[in-house]
Amino acid sequence: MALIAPPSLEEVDGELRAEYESGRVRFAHLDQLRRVLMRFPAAFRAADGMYFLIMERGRLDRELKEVIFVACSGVRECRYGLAAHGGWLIEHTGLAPSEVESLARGEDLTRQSESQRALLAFARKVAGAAYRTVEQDIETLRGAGFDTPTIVEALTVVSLSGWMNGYADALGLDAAEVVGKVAP
Amino acid sequence: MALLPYPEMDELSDDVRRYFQRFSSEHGRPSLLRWMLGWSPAASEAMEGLYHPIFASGKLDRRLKELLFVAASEQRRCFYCMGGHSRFLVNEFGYERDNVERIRRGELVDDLDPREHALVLLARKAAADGETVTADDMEQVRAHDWDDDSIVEALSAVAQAFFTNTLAQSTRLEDDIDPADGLDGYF
Repeated sequence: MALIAPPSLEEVDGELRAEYESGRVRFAHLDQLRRVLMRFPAAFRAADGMYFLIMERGRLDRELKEVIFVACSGVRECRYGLAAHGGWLIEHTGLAPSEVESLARGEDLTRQSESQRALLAFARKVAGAAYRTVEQDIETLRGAGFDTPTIVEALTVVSLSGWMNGYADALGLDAAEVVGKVAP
Repeated sequence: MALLPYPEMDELSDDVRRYFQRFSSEHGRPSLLRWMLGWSPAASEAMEGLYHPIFASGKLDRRLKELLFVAASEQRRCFYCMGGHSRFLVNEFGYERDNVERIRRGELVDDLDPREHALVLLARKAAADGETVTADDMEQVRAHDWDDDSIVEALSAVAQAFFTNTLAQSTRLEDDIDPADGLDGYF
């Protein structure tokens, strides 16, 4: 059970409730976080906006971004992040639960290209200790074909995962409640 | 020098330029974090919906949320975020530099209400390792008369630190301070 309960929907302002309902299917994997964040509407709206903008727009495809998200959640040992985004991968890309578990353990997937593996290794390093990033890490990514805008885009995914993991851990969100859950 | 180059103005989209202008109207110029994010119009737009809405709305005042943010950033050793916002607390809210340094380390000082101190301690714990936050921690904060809405709001300042700290640390953003205020760099 979460350390802070979500408000009952009856307590929530009608406009906010409508926003929640409109994103309920799209963000089903994040339902528990969204419900608790309704206690602070600015954070609720920021969450919906950030997920859409960072995860669904840009150069990198959504599947790779979700893979990065799961890998970073694995580094931080955030069970809610693993369950939510691993669940999304299983439901939307056909990834097997065992593959999500592999990602969470720091392993690569056979379906990934060499360049994707390089990006994933970088994301894991940043998620674990961002301050240890060095010039060589950037050079490795450039050698794998990534330009500056794409590297920045990948970093925003790592940062977003940190944002969500930070909330989930501090609020004690329950991985078992995640829709489409996987065993973390 | 940062690990990645900043975009030139002519490389920015019209939307990002508009975000820069809006930020500059309040702060003089875009921060280096905003500048780096300029490579990604989507992330720039996301940032527009994050910082100001989180810090300028809700039950907690901006000063307190800035304190929570620097406490979380100090815990996570992000000198860029900790320093820039510490300077903001000195320049905009009149804090003594020494008190900002002590508050962000979790000390109780004269210009910090014990109620606010309880939130600072929670912010530091959540920033260090959120999994260690317990029901008892929440009860201690509630005992200082904070309701659950306010606790979620306080943790939003911490979550903001997770987002910006990661970007600033991984790109090694340098100091972007204006020394005209007499403070010797980030502190």
